[in-house]
Amino acid sequence: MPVIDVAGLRKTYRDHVAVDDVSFTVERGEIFGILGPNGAGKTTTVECLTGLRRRDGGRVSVFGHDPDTDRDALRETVGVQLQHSELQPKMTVREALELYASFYADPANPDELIDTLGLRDRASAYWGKLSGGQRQRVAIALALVGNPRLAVLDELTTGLDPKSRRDTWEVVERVRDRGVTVLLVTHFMAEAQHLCDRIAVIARGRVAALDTPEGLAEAAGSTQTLRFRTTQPVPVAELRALPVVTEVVVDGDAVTVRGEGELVFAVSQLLGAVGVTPSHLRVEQASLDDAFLAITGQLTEEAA
Amino acid sequence: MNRVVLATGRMTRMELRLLRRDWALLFFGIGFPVVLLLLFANLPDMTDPIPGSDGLRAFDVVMAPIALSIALLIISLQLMPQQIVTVREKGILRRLSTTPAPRVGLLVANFAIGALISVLAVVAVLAGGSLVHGLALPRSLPAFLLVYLCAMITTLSITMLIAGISRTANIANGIGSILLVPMMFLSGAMVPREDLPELVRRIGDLTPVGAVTRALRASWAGEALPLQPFLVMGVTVLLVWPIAIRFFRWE
Repeated sequence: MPVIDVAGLRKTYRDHVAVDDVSFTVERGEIFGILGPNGAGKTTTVECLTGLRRRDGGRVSVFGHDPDTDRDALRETVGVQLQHSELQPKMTVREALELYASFYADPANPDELIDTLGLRDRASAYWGKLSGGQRQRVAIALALVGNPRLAVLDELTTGLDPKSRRDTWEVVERVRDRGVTVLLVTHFMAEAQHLCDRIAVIARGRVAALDTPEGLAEAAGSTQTLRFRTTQPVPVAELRALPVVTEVVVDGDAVTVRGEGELVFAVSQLLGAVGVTPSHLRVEQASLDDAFLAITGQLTEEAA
Repeated sequence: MNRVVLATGRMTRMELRLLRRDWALLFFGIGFPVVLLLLFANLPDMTDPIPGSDGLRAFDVVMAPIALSIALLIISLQLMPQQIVTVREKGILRRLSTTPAPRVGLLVANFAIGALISVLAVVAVLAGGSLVHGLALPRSLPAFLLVYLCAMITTLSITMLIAGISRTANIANGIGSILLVPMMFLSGAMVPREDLPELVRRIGDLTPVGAVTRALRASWAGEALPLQPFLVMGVTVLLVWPIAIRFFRWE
């Protein structure tokens, strides 16, 4: 049985459709990403999964429980990190963790979590005195303090500096290694690519694509771009004649070749044969970024 | 069940600890009624003995109860709803709602800090009044304690109602302020009860604060406690709680 099973989820606020038709399943031990532009319906989707909002349509099952009717059953097993959630400014980090731990039947050790999240030297600090990154780590610690089987993390690294972001990613990976399933909401491509086993791209309230990060990037097109510089004459006609090449642009001594398949091999073989030595050679693959833009851009065009 | 009790205890201890760190709340809740009582002492005739009352003065039997009623009003209509709604506005309750934290724990913890401020207020009023103007302690201390306990439960129940129905701290503040003035008037804080027209006095007696003030005065003078104020307080609590629970919201 999947940990999360969503089919045809729908949620409207007055006349605004926040989530139109979202379906996906999350398996045990996965880091599952929900990726999408702002306002795509990501947060509403996870709120419907955690019982914070009641859906208008569709079916949702989390560990076999319906969050709308059986919310109590999920409080014990699902740890949640919400966007913009605060604590009392004068509560210390340790106090918050110990308080939240006391709510659960089988809590994690607050002290260990303090170490795991690198909060040791801030454990006695008031929450109000913490930096954004530290607050974020406290929020993650609170999501984990109940020893959840599923952790729902909404925009977990928003507002963090690159170093804290990397550290936080490591924490999430360690959490998964402990057997916890992770549902991760993000609008950062790099984060999804780095952490997620599978990603659902949500745009305009619908699942626009669902695949592994690599799968999404490939689907966006196998176009590669090869750039190099050379002072020797470039065999433009021969390059264009290669079956894998779609485009050649020469700008002074800078050359850009676009194509598919075995582009790098074919181009370097040709250059070698005519005695041209390329310098500053770079190859660019289609990335998740491209995939994301292609998927969400397509949707915007359809709508227009 | 055991875990509910444990978690409730934890939440209450935490709230008390936070209260200790929040000087503004304590200072306002406790300092204000003391200052008010000391100002009352400067009103004309306040410190002259009332004939035939065995040395009691209006300062003792009228003004001290009024200062305490006003203390309870400010704590329950302004400070506490503000406190609770602010915590909710920050999303703290919403976050709590995703945990197995017991709802009753929240109510108990907030009730406890309201009660603690109220108790500190009465201690401060008694101590301040007797140090500066030789305030006479209530003639019947057990009766006084009983009345004050009932009064606390009544006014803090109203806190829960306001906190429940107010969506934002500003709304809570508004409702508290709108209630505060008529309640103070009817309690005899602005015009002594004896000088109110008969009809207004009757209405005042039927309001929670009018009832509280009347019962406090009786206990101070050592008179037999009237039954009506207790009925009014009891009915208030019974009316208010179902509404407060019905409108309780996490976010």
